[in-house]
Amino acid sequence: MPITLRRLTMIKEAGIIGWIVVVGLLVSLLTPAFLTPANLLNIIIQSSVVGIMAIGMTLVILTGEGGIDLSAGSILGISSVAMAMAIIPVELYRETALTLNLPNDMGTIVTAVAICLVTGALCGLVNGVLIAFVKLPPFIATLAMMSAARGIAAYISAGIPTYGLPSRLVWVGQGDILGFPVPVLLMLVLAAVVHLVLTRTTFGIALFALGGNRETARFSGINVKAMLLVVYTLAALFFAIAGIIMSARGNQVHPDAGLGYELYAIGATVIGGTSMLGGRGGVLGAILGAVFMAEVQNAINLLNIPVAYMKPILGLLIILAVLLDQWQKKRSIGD
Amino acid sequence: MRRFMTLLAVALIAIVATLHAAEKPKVAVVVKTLTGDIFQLKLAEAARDHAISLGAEAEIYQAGGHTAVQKMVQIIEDVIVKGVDIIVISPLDAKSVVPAFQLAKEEGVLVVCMDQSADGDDFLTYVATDNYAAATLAADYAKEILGGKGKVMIIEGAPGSSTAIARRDGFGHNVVKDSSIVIAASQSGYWQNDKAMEATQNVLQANPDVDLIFCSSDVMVGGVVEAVKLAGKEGQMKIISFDGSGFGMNLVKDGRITADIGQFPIKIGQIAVETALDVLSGKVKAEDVPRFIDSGNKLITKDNVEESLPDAF
Repeated sequence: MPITLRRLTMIKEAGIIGWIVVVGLLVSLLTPAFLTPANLLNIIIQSSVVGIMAIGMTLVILTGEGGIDLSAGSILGISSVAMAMAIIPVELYRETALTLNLPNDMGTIVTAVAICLVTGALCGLVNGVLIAFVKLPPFIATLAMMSAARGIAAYISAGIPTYGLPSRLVWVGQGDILGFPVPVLLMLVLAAVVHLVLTRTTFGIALFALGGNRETARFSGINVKAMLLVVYTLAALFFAIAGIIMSARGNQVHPDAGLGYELYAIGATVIGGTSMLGGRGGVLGAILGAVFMAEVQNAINLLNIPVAYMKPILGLLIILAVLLDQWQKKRSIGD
Repeated sequence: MRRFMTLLAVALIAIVATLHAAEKPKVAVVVKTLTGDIFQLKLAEAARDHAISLGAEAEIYQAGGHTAVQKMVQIIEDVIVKGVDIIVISPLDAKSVVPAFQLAKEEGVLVVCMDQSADGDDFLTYVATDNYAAATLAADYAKEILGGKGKVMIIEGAPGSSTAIARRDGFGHNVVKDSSIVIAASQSGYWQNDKAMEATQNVLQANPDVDLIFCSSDVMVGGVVEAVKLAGKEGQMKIISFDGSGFGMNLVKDGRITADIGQFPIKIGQIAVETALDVLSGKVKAEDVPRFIDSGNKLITKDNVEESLPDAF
């Protein structure tokens, strides 16, 4: 028995799983509305946007040497706006799209989604170039992108939100396959794929090596510049996917979509056990981190806790989660 | 001699023209930004157009963003140097503009705040929607359509925003007054539709029997409508929103929400300019102008949405 328990604490994600269970138990004692299948599903669906962003953020943070993407929320915003503008004719964009007869054919939807992904990837590519070749610190390069992308999103849409998207697109956010919500399935599939790539491929090994010690990685023949370029582009692709889900789930696109979400994504990544120093962590923890944050938000809403407490509570929990994580790591190194 | 007379005539005309131009009061309309903010755009255009129709010269200046504080201060200083008589302004925040307002007062320039107030008393008056009063209107209507009983929830704006607090309290304090209505929950949607959607979904898990939702802004109401739809309560749960934007009014027209509380950026701009011009011409004494002028509000329902749509922003 002690051995099993010991093994359990050795699992990287044990800390965050523990937190999810502890908060869950506490809240279910306070309200019967928490521990119902509908509410649990609700929490998982609500974690999907931040969860998918956190996958991208994990890749970026893993590169080390200050690797971070502050433009995550803005890239989500500009990609969603680009998608909406590919669907809704410009002259109708100012109308409440809900009342319009929008094109709902597969061709338009696929094109719009492709435009969304390309827009995101391009932003990421610019980040990558600025960081790998111009040698700007990631904090500065992505801070600039954060401002630029948000500005362009507001400019091209004239700041107008649009409500009502084609039903085929809305399905991506609100639909289900055999009872499983599409956003959750997407998050799980993406997490599984990236997890396999990180743990089973040379790309994954190279990424961890990069974050562990960049000089050593360079000397062992890893193309650091190419890696950074790929990672920032890939991350932005995930932010764009999160944008599709956010738009489809809410049935609307707003130029301010994803405002401040970079902090949620970073929070989820860190709570999930990825080291801010790079080289250590994983995407499964990031997903669990996102679930945890959605759980806390859900609890606050269910219990009708005054909103002023929300952010301090989240902040406190982030610190506690990271402290627990460090303690756990120290113990495992001590062994 | 003939040539001298012609010159004299031209000179006279020029002098008269200059004098006439000098008689025209000059108005500077200063706003946060015109791109991406229809409220500010309508406000600015209304102020300028109304000033011109009242015989003044008017020009719009924009700071260029919701955080361009320094730029706004610089604009104020520049237009004072240019010799304007009146500045109607929507300040970016209450503090940064105070020194510039002092300068304006010293130079004898009248300042009127629109939509957002400022600290100190170097401006003539402040014209805006009385958010508490407007939300009270929503509460009265809620009581009427619920027959004085039932369960309501409130989706608030961002925590700490004075507008958010005024709207929450205006609705919350008054909906329970003289009724047996209970407030099941009051949670923040952070002025973001996705956050409002999540908050609504979560609250509905604990309170599936909510009868009415008061949403503090049209910016968030789309999320509320989607959450209600996904909960399978479309048509059963009543929704009252706040703003009177084109978007909100179209939702009323469509029957997706029950009512919208309209505010009037156009009126704010017009009242601001007219008040300042009246004081400048001496028609009204500065000390007779109240510190705050409510630009009014309007309950918009299916019955009057058609006639209200032209006022939408």
